[in-house]
Amino acid sequence: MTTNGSADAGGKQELRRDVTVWGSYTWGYADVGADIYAALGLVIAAAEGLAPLAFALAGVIYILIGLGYTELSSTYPVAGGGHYFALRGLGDFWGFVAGAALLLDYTIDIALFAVASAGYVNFFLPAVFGINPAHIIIALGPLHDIKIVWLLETMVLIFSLMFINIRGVRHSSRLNEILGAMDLILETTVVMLGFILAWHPALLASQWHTALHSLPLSKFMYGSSLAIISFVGLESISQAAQETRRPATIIPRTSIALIFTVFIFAVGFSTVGLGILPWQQFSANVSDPVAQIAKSIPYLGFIAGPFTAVLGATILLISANTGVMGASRLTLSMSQLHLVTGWLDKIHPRFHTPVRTIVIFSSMGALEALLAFLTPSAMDTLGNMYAFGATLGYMIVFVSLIVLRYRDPYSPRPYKMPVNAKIQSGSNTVDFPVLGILGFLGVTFILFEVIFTHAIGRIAGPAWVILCLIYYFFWRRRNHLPLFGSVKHNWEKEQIDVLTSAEEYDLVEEYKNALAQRDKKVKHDVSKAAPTDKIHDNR
Amino acid sequence: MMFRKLPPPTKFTIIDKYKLFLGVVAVILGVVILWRAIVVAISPPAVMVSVAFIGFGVYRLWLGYTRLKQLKANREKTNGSG
Repeated sequence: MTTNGSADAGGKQELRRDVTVWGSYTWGYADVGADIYAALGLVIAAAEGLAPLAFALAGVIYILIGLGYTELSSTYPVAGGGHYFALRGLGDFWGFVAGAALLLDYTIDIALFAVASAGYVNFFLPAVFGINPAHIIIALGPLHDIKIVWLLETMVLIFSLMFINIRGVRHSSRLNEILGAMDLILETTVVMLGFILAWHPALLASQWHTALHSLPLSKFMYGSSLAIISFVGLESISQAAQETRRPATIIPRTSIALIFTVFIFAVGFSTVGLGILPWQQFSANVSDPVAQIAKSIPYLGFIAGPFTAVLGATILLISANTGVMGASRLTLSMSQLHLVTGWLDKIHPRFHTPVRTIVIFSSMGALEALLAFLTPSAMDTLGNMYAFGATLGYMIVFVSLIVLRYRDPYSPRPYKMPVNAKIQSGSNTVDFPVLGILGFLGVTFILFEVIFTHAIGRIAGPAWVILCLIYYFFWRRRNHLPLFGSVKHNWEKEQIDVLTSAEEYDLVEEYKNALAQRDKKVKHDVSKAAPTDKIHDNR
Repeated sequence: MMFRKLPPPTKFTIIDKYKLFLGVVAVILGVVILWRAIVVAISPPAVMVSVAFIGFGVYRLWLGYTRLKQLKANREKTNGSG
């Protein structure tokens, strides 16, 4: 949070670089690793016995997204994440659209993970009260089935996070490291013991074959588009990039380790889960699916179930907090790049935190949670929206990745997406990212699935982006800034400053050399062209 | 594309031991899943997960082996120069 930041002489806020290799990995894991706690039940409820396939398909696209993010985050280690890459590659307008999509995701992140965290808390309620108060429903006018206790729990969690962040929580990398490590150990243990002690291959095979023959395609598409939410959170590594020591060396390693760990867990959990319990049980318990698996492990279930529920509730709350912090970081970056008003980033004189951003975006998360509880399934509705924001943002990031290979071939790329085709562009040879195109097509397909199958996401998602665009045009016009064009930036100087502050001195040298070579070449081309021009003029 | 090189290791840390342990466990788990799936009821997800675990485990073991080799070479270099 901003307590972890500092201000330079010009008053511009900067984030201190104190995140290590393990810190960077666990920072990402505390965010992305938590997703499976929320997504598993939703995906199995939709894709039934084909859930492992849904996770695998979404996972392959996620791996491509992850590789793209790894390249961009290590090339541009700044806190803006996806919106910054879009702005560098495509200009202010698309930078704003990507920022709006990711901002939607951060507010949904607050709502969805607070709801899911409360869901894991509710795992204990039947044992305490004899009944499950989370299932107490009320009717409000034409709206029925409002789970009032669950809604109130969610509100308490969101407003507690808001309060804590206003007072200035030092978002310690250490806390993330401890929780990330605990989560990693717990998930590994549940998957391993589940496979060894409780897994029935016959149950998995029967559910697979039943779904293969009877599940409608639209339901599978719905499930696979929801599966993408179990992989959302790569933004957090980009966000952490500005606080990571030697990001060019560290980020590629941690990102790729994270990508594959999360992929294996997502496919592993769905495979072990469907070999232990019928899919209907997940459908009836979408709020605490991992605890349901842990509870079913023989001999250890009585302790593993509650322990998983406690850890699930905690890590999901941390993930919700990532939403509060991510929104602050994103708006800070957007205001510094003249995309939104700087009013949002006003620091509170006593608490030294961006109170306005925290209050506005946490309240927005609370409102989204409230509205979601008015629908038949709050988690499903929020999952819909989450998938829309993520896929739209990732799609723009892929286009930026491809465009930046052409527009900015001089920035050193400590990691490049594999499989590139050499293409001649003017006098330069550019590495055209073939996997980038496949990733773009994959994300576009998932966005299509979201629009095709998500009744709420296809309306509320675009509505959010349109509302944000109205604000953008209004604000840019008022400040006499171009509506579709871009504000002038000295990217070369900025890139040198960013790499220097990251202590990546060898990359600074590499970059300066590449720019010098380019200038030399341009000068040479001009001097070569000049005599011809003279002759032409004389004629 | 290859990663930028990290400085050679100076000692075999607890994290290295954990990674090797995880590699061994992943390979064993992958083999157990595959064997059970083949014996009881084979299904694509079971095969996919078992292959993923075996691949992950082998990769981890290979990383651990490479690191041990680097450590050995580094020690020999230090002893030689000393």
